Amino acid sequence: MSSTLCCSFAKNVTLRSSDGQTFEVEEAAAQVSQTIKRMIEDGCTGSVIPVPNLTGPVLALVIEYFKKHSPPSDGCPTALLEMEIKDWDAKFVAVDNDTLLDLTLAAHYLEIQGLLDLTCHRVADILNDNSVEKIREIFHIKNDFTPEEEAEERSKIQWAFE
Amino acid sequence: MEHKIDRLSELPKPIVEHILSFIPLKQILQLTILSKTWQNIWTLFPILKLEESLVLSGPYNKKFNYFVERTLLSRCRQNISIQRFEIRILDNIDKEWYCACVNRWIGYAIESNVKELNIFASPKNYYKVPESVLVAKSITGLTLWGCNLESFRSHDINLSSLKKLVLGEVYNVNDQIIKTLIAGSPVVEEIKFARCDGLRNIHVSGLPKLMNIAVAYNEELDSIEIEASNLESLLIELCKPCQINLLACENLKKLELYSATVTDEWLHDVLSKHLHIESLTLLRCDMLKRIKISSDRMKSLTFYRCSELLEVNIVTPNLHSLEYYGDVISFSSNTSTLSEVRLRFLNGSFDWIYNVENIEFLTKLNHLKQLTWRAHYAKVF
Repeated sequence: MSSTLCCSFAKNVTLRSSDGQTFEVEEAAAQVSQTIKRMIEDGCTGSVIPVPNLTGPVLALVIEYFKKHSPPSDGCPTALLEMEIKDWDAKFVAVDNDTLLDLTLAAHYLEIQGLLDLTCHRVADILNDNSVEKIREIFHIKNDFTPEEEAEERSKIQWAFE
Repeated sequence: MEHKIDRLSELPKPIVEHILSFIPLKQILQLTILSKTWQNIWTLFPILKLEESLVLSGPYNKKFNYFVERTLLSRCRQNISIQRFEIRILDNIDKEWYCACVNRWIGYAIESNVKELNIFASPKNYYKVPESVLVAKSITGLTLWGCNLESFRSHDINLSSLKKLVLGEVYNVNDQIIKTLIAGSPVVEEIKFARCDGLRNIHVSGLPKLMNIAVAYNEELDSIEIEASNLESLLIELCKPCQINLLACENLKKLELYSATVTDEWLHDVLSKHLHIESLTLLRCDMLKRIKISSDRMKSLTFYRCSELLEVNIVTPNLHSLEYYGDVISFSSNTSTLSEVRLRFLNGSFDWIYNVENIEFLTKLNHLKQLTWRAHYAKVF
């Protein structure tokens, strides 16, 4: 890939997940995360950067995202590249719901706005495309309304169900 | 049993709100039936976006209006800042009655320190923007589409937090209103004026944070003068000849001109004074004939149907992307860094001609990753 060209100049950082797995990644790529960017700026580069909110498998996925979204070395994202990334993004979040929520939380903790938008949009699509009953089933949401309460709530917003 | 955990409801509040921001209001309301937690999430949700389908909901209109009223009042009473309030005013509703409702709702939203206020009115309605909007200090984003700006004429404007301003198809706008509006929006970063009849001369200056201007299809526009030292992106789409004057926009990176009556000399002058321009798009600029683009910074060039163009000479050592759509012309370039080229030549009305000699420079491109021939043409918008 094109990144091999600049490897001699690229600085790496090591990230450590909550379960102790370590990953080496280019500093520029890791800075897609605002949280990590701040840690690097504060001088954390020499040692390992702990990422205590993420398990190894989730961090591995996030690093894949970093690599795809690290700024191009020439600083100029072309239209073609943008299209390719969009396709890649769509495939990246076509995962099971648990992984999707893991990624959503990871994006929140690590302040990765692009990934947060992507995952939240995906969750929103799932909520949008399914009935209330189905959503409860998909996400294991316990219905704590009594049948009477639920009927009353439904009648209040009946117009929204038409 | 571990698979039975409801992780969605447990997500931090900002994430849940972000998810809901992608969902139409009607669907959000359906989610309140999920559980008491979700009912609670809704009562604190700071975005109220009234989509067209809801406003149009015919027989349910009264219930809908009652719902909007109750929702805004409840946010107001709970001191919940409204992040975004978006409203549509359509043709087919009892105008006076509905506009009175809308004015009241906007009042509640402003009381709740609304940040983003978007009003989309059907131009037939002549919906008059209430004066309270003009001094709403909490507003950071304001979109007025199809509205009547009569109240802007004789009223002070103080939008001290406004960052993004969009005016489209507005009525009763004139140069003076825009001047007052600009003077009353000292921290504005992004401005868009589209299809604003009555706008003749736009003069922008004294806005140190301004980074982005788009001026599109304002039919009566005669002149644009922009003095903005931090401006990075400028888009101008014209309907008739219009004088464009750029002063001290030394940080301009992206320039897009559509149907602009600019000459070769004008372009050369602008490029020589704005050395940071990285991306240039020229569409139907029919007075351009022979142009030379010489810049170390230029990365992306697009020429789209500039009908009189005869010759293009590109001296841009760092160019990455070149798109051209139009008659076969003489191209010359020393560029060796191009990674993406899209060319579509046309000759006569329907015949396509691919003239290899005229684009001989392509053979010199060692780094070319993508060459699109005919199949794709310049993506313009």
